[in-house]
Amino acid sequence: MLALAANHPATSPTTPPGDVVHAFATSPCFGADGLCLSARESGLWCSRDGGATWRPASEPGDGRATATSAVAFSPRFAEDRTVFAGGHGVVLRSLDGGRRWRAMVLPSPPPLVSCLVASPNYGADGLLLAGTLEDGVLRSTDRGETWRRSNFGLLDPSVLALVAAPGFDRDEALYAGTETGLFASENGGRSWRETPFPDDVGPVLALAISPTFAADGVLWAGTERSGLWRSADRGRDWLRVDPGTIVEPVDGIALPSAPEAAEVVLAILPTEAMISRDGGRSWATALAAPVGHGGIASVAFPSGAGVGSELLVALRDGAVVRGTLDV
Amino acid sequence: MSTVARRVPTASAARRPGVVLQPAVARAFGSGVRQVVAAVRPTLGPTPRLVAAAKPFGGSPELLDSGGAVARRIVALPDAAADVGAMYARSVIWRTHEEAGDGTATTAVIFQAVYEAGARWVAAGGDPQALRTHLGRASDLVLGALTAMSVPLRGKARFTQAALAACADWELACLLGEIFDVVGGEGQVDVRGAPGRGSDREYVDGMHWPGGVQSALFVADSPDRRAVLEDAGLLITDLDLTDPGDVRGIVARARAAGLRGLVVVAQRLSDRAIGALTASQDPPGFRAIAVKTPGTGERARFVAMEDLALLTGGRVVARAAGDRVDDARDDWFGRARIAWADRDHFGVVGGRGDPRQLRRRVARLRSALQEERDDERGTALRNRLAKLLGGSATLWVGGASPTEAAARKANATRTVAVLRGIVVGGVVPGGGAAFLDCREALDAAAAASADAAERAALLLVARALEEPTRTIAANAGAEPGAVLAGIAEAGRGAGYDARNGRVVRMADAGVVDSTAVAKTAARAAIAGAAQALTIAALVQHRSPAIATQPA
Repeated sequence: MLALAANHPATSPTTPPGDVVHAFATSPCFGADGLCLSARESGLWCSRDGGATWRPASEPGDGRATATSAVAFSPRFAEDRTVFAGGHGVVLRSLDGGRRWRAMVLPSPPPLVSCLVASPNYGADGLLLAGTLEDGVLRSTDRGETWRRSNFGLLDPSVLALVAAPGFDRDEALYAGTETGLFASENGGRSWRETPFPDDVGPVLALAISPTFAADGVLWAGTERSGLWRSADRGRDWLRVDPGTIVEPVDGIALPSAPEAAEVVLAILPTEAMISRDGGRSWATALAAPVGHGGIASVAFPSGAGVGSELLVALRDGAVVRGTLDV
Repeated sequence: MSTVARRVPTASAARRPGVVLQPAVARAFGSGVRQVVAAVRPTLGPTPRLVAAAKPFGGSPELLDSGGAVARRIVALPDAAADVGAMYARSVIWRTHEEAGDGTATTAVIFQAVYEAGARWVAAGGDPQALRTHLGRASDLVLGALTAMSVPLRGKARFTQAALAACADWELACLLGEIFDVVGGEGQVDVRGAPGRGSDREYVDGMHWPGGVQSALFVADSPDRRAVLEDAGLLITDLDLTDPGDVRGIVARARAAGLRGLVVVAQRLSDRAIGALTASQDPPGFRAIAVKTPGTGERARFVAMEDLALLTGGRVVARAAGDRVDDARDDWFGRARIAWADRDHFGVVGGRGDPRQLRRRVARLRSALQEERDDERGTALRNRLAKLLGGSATLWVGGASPTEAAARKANATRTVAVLRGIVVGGVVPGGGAAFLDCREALDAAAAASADAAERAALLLVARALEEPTRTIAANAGAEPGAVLAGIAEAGRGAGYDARNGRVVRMADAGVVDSTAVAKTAARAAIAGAAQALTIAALVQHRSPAIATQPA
């Protein structure tokens, strides 16, 4: 049986009372640098010891904290030390592993960035995409310096989730989850087309793409009110895989990359993480959120998701639980 | 360079009235076909040669590189019987131009090859009606084979290559490749003349219409004469607003609704109403402007207002419904992240309409567009669809001289139609290679047929499908027979890359043609020839009218 094992107790959140974590990410070099970033209502927070202790990341300008809502590491972080965070009307960029930050202003009126995605081919194309709650998708082709709305065909401007295909350098495939459905782009976000995802099942909060997407075309979508959905043909047809099992909003989805765990799916809900080992047909609680921390905000697999791999569970109040995905 | 002379018919012996019967029909008709196709033939391929059309009243000749334009310039031949064949060929070629915007020279050479081979078969005693029937089946096989080998085209580089194949203008091809990568087949692409030599493109985010501000006062304080309102409300009506009290009431309701800006979209505002709207800017922090109701004509205006209301989540205050502006409630205001207007246009970005309703309207328009056969109505539907999808592009085309600029603009417009067809229908290997690969299906069907007329139809079409490759090779200075032998050796998908003078796998080399254009060309050529082969007599008048428009 697969289970999530919490190897350590929850850390102290070290945050102002009432603070909320909106997004959480670990460095691609986590094993060496222990770096993780937490986008919170109180600003951007940084830990360099694997989430044990936290302090505010440097803020641009006069040092006032900017509420942040999204965070993303460059796929080439080991070489370029670049990391991004999004907030209200700005994208913050650090070129030194999160020590100093610069704010790039988004087109007015300022939108709230809900998610950030760096192109898997970022080293070559410098492409960064920001999903926003008001202005759809903003696109930067100069590593975040300048931004432009890129919403042709995106009929719903409230974007909650964005994901790029692993073979993005070849197929330029992107998917955007919105308040009313799911949109696809086959040209790197220059234009969008709606998918047949039902528009009456509630907002799409989370998206995940199979590590072998080029071969299997499997895409997952987590919704606020209607559980988890799966497509096996690059988003053309959709099927709900958990009839009735998942009743909470699906805030995140994690797919192990190991071949032996091809059918394993982890769904991150506000009060628990649920796991399926049969492609979503049956579910079991993998980890209940520790009491008193406001629930689960996000889960990160620092060295890639796989059976036995380490994971970090970020709780809403800023605390972190470290564990492993065990058999 | 070939030359086409526009001839004014004279009362010569060839113009005597009378009836021409077989076998003279085939000779005369074929002569006319040959003359028109000979004039069009040089324009086929990526290395087209120009055709000079003399002007009726002298002056420098018109230089043409489009088969459709060349055919259109041939308005009459001196021999009345040949003239019938010429005008017939002209109409077949023009039909392709009208339907696909390209592929006219391909149509011409296939048409001539099918007609001449068919005429020989009929002259040898074959039944023209039976041949016509079987040519229909051959056409179906060709269209089926083209559909089977069609693949979608994606990416800026591929679109650029396809554009280059269609327009043979590198600058235009690069710009159009990028534009189609961004807006796809459903986007609105406007081609406009630009001052100067160069060309450029511009993307307009959101939805915009012709019809700018109602008064220059609304843009007077902006250096670029453009008003931009953030988080604005829109009151959409086809009423004339003449009472300043009405305008003040609207402004008061907009302020009470918490709007930071207001765009009044109305048929007309009186000077006093404009004054009231201008005065509403005080105190600062709120801005209001008025723009003209979009659309010309009642129907177009209504549709544009409905689309604007849907996009922004507002409600049309409609004269026909008996609405009055002082009935307007908060939820009648449309809302947009940005509304802008200048002297000529106004637009909205980030309309706050219901995305579900918007998706349903888009689906309905897509469905209507698929069914629509009328060009004008189709264009109107496409423009509506593009507006609702939220973006458009303008290609500004310049040239070294007004004549060159006009020719490049026409070329760009034609290429836009081709690229639109490509987005919808995909591409096949270019340079005539797709037609060569259709022969396999025809040869197999001929081998399986016991009917002499059917075998003849299938085989003569198979032979005619070599004609585009032969012509492209000849136009590039190569020996067609040697080129065809090289292609046969290389196998399916191979063709002649005339730019580099090599036999290559065309798709790999990026040499592709629009599937829609290829199918239109094949269908028009074979159907046109099949019908022509059944002509048994020609009736000629004393003074045949000069054809100024293709039939």
